Amino acid sequence: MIEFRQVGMRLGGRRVIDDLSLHIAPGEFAMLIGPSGAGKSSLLRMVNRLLEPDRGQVLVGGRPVHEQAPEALRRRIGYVIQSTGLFPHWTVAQNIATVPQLLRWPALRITARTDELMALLHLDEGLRERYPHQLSGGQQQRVGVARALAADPDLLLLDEPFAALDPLTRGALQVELAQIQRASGKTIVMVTHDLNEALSLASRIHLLDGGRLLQSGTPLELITRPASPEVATFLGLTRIDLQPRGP
Amino acid sequence: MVLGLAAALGLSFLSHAPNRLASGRGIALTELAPVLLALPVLLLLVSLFMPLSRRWQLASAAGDAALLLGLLWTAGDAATHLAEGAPLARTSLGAGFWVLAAVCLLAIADAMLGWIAALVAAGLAGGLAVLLAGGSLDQLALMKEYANRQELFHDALLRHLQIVLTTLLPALLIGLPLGVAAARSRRLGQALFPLLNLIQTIPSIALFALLIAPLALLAAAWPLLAGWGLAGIGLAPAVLALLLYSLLPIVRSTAAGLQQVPAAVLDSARGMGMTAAQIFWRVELPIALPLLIAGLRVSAVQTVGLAVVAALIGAGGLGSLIFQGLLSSAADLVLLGVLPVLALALLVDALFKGVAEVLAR
Repeated sequence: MIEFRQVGMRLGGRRVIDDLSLHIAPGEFAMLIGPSGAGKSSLLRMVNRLLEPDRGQVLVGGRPVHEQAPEALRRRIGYVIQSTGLFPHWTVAQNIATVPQLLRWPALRITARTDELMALLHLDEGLRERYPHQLSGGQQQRVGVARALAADPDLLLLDEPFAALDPLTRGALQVELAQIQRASGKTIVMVTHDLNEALSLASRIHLLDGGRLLQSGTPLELITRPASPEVATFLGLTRIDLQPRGP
Repeated sequence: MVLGLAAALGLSFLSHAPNRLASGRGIALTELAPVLLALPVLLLLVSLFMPLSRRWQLASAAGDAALLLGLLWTAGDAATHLAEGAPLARTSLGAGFWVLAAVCLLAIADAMLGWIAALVAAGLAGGLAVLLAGGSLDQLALMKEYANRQELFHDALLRHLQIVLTTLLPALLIGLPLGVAAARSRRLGQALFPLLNLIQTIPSIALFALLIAPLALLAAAWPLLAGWGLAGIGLAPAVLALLLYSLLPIVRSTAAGLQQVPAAVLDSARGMGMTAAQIFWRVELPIALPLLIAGLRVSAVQTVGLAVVAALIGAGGLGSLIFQGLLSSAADLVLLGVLPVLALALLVDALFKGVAEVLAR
């Protein structure tokens, strides 16, 4: 589904992504995890061409993204960000219908799809005509996810979508997202810095640091066979009392 | 407010002169006031001490409006009586009237909220129209000045509107793109705003005068431009100067409106696959619109006021009446120019306020 081929990018002299190659298979729930500044978000934003790499290639669906028109590419890919980015002057229904509107779906189809998505994400029918500022944080992010799913994309990009939510709401949304993914077989790429989230949701975890890929693997592989001491440290597998003592 | 009422009763309500040039004799309200005025006055006093419930606000605002109209009618009636057998006599509204009118308007403004405002304003306008049409104000000096200069007044009013419109439309066409550009490029904004601020600090008379020489030279150098109406005096320098003044509020509010669009909203708009044009028209502009309208409102009201000064360089408009009145010390003629300017400014202000409220839903 997605392939990064020796991708590199500099931003203001700093190497954000450094010769990174990575493959994400169709139907996978891939987690990009790592400390702040590891390059997770930058990598994600290269998939829908919100950022362009200086070197290397990014392929989506077997085709290099730079050969695809950015708007058309983005309309085929769902996109959710942490602060939701909901349009404040549009109602919940209008927000969800953003991409179908851009694709000029007939009105009836848009209404039907909006209803379907609101039900899927447990958004009460009465919220249809509300504005984003009238919703709770959890409801806002449900709308954000519904908006990303609206045109039924095969690929979903999520940039720390649940980081700003309280633990209870976050847990509920994580479960729902996992159910949606399992039922639809969509490919999901999600950025997180929350290790628990990665371990419980991902089918594959890609651990990044300093713009480089430290290790890729299933949650079990990462825990049982960390590729390097850094990976083990990040996963919290090294116990503090086993660290060599100073003189 | 009570102080104002007391002062108003002491000051002369009307001023009566045997002709236009002689100075007048004061007439107090107590000499004229019919009993019916007591009721609204009482209401006004009572409303000062009543709780701020919706019903009381409406009642007090309506009472104040009725009082204002009653005062006007009283003045007109008195003037009519005084004018009998003395066609040259002039009866002007005196300080007492204006203080009372101001007290009424203040009290009304105090009670103005939402639909009450619209209702009271409509009632006031309707009452005024009835008084004017019924002819009960015809013998007031103000209306006599109007009757003598009807044609001139209508021309001046139209000219004033023409100046305001020919200023605001180009101001919008220039200011909007400038505001967008200033919001996009920080360096352009840093260069533009000090310049616009500088223009704003130039006194309007000075700016009008400053434009005379270059425009006259331009018109002389290129007859084609002169053919389009460009000249050192008249409409062209007036509109140009007013345009320069009106740019700052428009450009600043456009830029501020666009800058307050959250970065996350723009990011998700791009991520959803909107083109740059779609992002501007569907996302940025609607979110910036309330601020933009507010800037336009400031510009429009300011232009209505400043257009008065444009009369000094031969642009015409209501200012020409005001300056004529000032030069011949005819206070009523000055009023004939000032009152429509005030009404126009209030109207424009209310119009844009209404638009902004509709947009805010």
